Amino acid sequence: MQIKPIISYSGSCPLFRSLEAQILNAIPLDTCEWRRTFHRPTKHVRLDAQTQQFDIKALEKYKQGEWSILEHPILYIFVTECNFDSYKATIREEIHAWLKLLTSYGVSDWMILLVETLDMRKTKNILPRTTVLDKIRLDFCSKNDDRCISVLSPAKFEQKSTESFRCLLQRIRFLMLTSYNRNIAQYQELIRSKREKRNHDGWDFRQYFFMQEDLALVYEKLELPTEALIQYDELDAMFSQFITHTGFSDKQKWLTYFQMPLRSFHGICLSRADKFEVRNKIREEGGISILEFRNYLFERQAHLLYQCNDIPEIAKRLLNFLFSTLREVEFIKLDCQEGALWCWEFVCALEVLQMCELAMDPRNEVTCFQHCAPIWNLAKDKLYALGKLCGLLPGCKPTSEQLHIVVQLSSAIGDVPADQQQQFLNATPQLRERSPNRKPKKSAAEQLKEALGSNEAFKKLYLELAELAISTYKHVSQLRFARLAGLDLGNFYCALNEPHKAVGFFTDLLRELKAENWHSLSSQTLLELANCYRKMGDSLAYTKICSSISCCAELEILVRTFYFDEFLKSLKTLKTTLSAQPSMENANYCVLEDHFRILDIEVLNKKPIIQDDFVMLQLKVESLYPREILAESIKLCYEIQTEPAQASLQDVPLSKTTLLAKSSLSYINASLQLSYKQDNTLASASVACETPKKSQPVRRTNSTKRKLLPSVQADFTNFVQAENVILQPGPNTIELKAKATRVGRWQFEQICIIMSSLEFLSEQLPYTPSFEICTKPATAVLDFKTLVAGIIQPITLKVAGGSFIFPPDAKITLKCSKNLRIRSALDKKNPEFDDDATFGTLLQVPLLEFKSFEERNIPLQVLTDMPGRKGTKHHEHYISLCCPWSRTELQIPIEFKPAMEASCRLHTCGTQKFLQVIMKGLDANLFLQDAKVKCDVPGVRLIDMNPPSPEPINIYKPLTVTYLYEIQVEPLKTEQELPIVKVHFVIKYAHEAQPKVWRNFGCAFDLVDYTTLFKVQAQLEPNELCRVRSVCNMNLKITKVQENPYNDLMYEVLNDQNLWAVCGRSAGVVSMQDVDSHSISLDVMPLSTGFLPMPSIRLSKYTAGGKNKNDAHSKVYPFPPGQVYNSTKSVQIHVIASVNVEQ
Amino acid sequence: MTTYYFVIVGHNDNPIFEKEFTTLNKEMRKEDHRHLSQFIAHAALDLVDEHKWKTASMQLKSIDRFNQWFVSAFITASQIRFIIVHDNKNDEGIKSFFNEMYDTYIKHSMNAFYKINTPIKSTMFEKKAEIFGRKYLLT
Repeated sequence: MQIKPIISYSGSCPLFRSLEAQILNAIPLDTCEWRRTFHRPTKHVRLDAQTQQFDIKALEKYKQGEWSILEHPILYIFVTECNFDSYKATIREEIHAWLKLLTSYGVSDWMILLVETLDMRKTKNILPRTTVLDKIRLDFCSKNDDRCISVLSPAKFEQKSTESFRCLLQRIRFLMLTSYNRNIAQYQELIRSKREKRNHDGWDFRQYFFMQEDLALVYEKLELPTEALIQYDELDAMFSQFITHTGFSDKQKWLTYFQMPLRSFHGICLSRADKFEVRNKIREEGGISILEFRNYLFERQAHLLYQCNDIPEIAKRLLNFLFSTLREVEFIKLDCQEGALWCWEFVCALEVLQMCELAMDPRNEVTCFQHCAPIWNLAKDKLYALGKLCGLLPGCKPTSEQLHIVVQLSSAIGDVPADQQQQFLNATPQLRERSPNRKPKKSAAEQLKEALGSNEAFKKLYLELAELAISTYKHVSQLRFARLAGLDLGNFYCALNEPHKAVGFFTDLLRELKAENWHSLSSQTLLELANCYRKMGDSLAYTKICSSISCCAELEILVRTFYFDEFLKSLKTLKTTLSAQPSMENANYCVLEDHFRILDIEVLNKKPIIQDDFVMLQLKVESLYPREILAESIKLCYEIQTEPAQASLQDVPLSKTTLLAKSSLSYINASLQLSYKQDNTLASASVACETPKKSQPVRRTNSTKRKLLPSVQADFTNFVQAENVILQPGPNTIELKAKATRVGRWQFEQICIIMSSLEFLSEQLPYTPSFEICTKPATAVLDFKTLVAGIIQPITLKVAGGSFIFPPDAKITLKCSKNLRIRSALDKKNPEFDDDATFGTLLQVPLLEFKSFEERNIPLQVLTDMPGRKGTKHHEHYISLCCPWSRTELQIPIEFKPAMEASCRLHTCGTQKFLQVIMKGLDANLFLQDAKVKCDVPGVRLIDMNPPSPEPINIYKPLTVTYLYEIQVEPLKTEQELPIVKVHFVIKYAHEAQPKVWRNFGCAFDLVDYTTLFKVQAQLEPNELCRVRSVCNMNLKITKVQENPYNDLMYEVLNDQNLWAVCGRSAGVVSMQDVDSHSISLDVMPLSTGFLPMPSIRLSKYTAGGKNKNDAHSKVYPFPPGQVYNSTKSVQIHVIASVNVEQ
Repeated sequence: MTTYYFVIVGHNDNPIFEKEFTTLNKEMRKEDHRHLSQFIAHAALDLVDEHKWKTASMQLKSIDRFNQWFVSAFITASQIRFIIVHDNKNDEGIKSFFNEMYDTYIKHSMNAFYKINTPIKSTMFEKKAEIFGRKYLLT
């Protein structure tokens, strides 16, 4: 079929024919600019043309509106070769008539061509006033003189004609395009009016179809494939609208034409040699089925898309085309053989895929693949359906009926002549070069026929298609679709009895589904996998899958319990198989989260945990198994927590932003940023979030890298454990424990539940509580209450082991300070209890079998001498401890209180002297006996004046016991000789607890100034009648008893001012030089009635001042008590009331 | 016979609500089909995610065809995806259904006790879905 614009010629036809070949050949040689109407972009078009003699019939059709733009001449040319005379005679009339005719049909695309044969050389001298051309222009082309052109006859002027000829061609091209502008607009109008009549009776779609297709063909010819495509798309939409919406009424009789029964199911063929083969068939009455029509439409669209170099669009349109056609077939209610449409779909799909493969542009590869992937998948599915129909699936053998189906289908598929394909390929230069060694691909129909031919071929093709579908989906990163296709392929492999190949696909799918929590789908996939593993005999994997299935809440309980039983069964057999295959041990991990849910982890210990103590942990875990199950061991490992590196802060250069800490909890990768000023102070703080990838800030998530097997097994060197735990379905609380061995801060990392040889490892713990293990130092403490010196005192040595590990022969050495002795505590009944020799200053306390954290109280006894000193001062001692865990000695101060104290007083009676020893009971209940005083000084005698007592005297707080002794100093021994008399007092005492043990208590007293030097005597007169407020006379007599150096004495009357009043001086100084006694008289007055004590007299040594310069003031020194004897001390005077009082 | 499988997919590609509407009675319903439409819905997430950047509209209409199945999708403002796998064309009905479900979903998500992206376990929600399904999809 020729699609070339037609040029109609009239006038001198033989002349035109002589030029025709030259013109037609020359037209396509150059392009012409096409200025289109309505501001459409201008375009350079290469035209082609054919000629036709002027025919009035065509114009008749044109006028009636039944013309086709293809068949309508685009340019009318009148050709003439005339001189002035002939023009005037005939030609003028002819042209006139021709133009009139054209105008009457509404055609304005004409041109007058004047071929000049005038010999210019001959007429060189005569310049004609007007030429014929001028004349013609004047006559016909007053408005558009470009429609009249003259050309030198190339036959006669070979060289000169070239220029004029080129002008002619240019003009023809230009006029043709102008004509197209008008004609296309007119034709579109015509189409529109036709379309509006589509619901009228007698309207035929086919007519309309050809009409609009002609326009499309013209557009295609004019190198406007997109506009041509629009025409086809309109036709496509119109057709499907008719089929699906209008239904079948009497109006659309033409529809019955497409209701032809489907006999053949040829797929599309994109490499047809004769593109209009089908078009011609459509024209024929009763020649085409809807499928063929649809095929043709799609082929044309594909062809135009190919022209536009929009290969992906072809692939994109294919699926829509297939599905809508199928729907149309369904609507028309065409019966067809089962499987036939699948064949058709399959062939179409493969045809497009082959085309894409060959013609793909690397630039739009991805978009192309994006559309190809579902096509591959479709082809795969259709092939599978066909295989099922024809008994070609693995494990099936086609029955004779099925073979019959195969034969029928194969014949209906049809053939594609091989040479056509090649032709098509050669015609398109941009197709990819193939390597010469590669065999040309078989056509889609052939491939299908071959696949339907045998089980083996079917299998091969199916596997190929499936792999291609999967890989293409993967290539365009539609992983979910890839997985879905993988599911089909896996099932196919299962049917092929090659489950090991299927496993990979199922596992991939499972991973995806699990990551995205499509539980019901993942449990289905698990069932498939279980099937595979059972077939493979992989008992380990089977066991794991059974376990997973039994934990799927989505499945029915019957299924779950079945697989639970299977799990337990195969777990038993697993024990033997595993030991035989030690290399497989890495695979016996399962994901814990699939079977158990960790609800809570809580450390039960108080914080912190002491080293070597037990770490107690409460784990709440939910078992998803349908029944109870025994876990041999549940472990939870912990790892030492590393402190965030704070040190790096110092290394950071100043005034720069530093990334400090990253929060591991946050969903986005936010981090704290602190920037410092030069002086190290904080300049600003901010939270920053880095975009993961700068090139692609937002990207859809199509694959999560979740693993089905936990690849990381945490370090299980430290773990808490519980053994042989029965886990009930639902929540369980388990206590785990472990010994805290190493000091530090620990964090829980991973849970491992061991059942037989399977290990369930957790991926990530929802809670990671941390705990701290630390050491506790060993201590030794002495514990005692108030200690009393002189008697056996209990004391406790408290040893707390802490986390120290004791050697078996560990001991603590105690060292006592002077006068302190120590021993291990002895019982009272022990005969050695009373033996003081068992005390020593050094004691070694053995710590036999002492364990860490043990606390032991060791009773000890201490004894210290009672010090002979006076006073109630505490006695300080020390005990030094030497412990096995420490190198330094520990010094513990101990204080003792005295059990009793002794003091002495010197008493005077005239010249007689008495020593009183006072024993004061303090903190203990003691018995005293055998009090003795000793004096080693010759001439001094101490006479015991105490009554002998056979019974020991009991003394206790606040009891005092007094012993009295008279001191007799020989008269010869004067005080000058013996200024100090040392007296030693010794007494034996026993503690009430140890009445038989008598210890000595000694005390030394020094006696000084024991000689009586002066005697003071006071006498009151009148002695008997002393009245209140009446002045009495008091006679004071001081007598020197012993010669002494004190001459000046001062006396003072020390009276109670409520009782006595001294009249006159109460004090005075007397000189005892050379006199033995002095009498002084004083007046005193009693102020109260009753027995009043005599005013006491104090005698003091007096040193008069003023004798030398150093001693300006007089000084008074008191006498020690032994040197002055007051003989009237404590005499009482009876004072009676005065007479005045009565009055 | 018509079958609609409706699923709401959360941000982590996890299904948070699933419902099936069918005119088939229970005996006729094949378990296999349900899984197939689920599988298709899951796989179609790839396409939903591709399409959603190409349009400003929430309705993505028919985004995929899988043999006889159509996949229609709707994206909420918070990027929650509604997907329907169906076997006959019903653009208008699905559009209305999506709009009503969007309304219902928004109300549900305002519940302070509901955490976004977790499965919806509300009888009210279920009931509403049932009503809208019967109203727009099965008639």
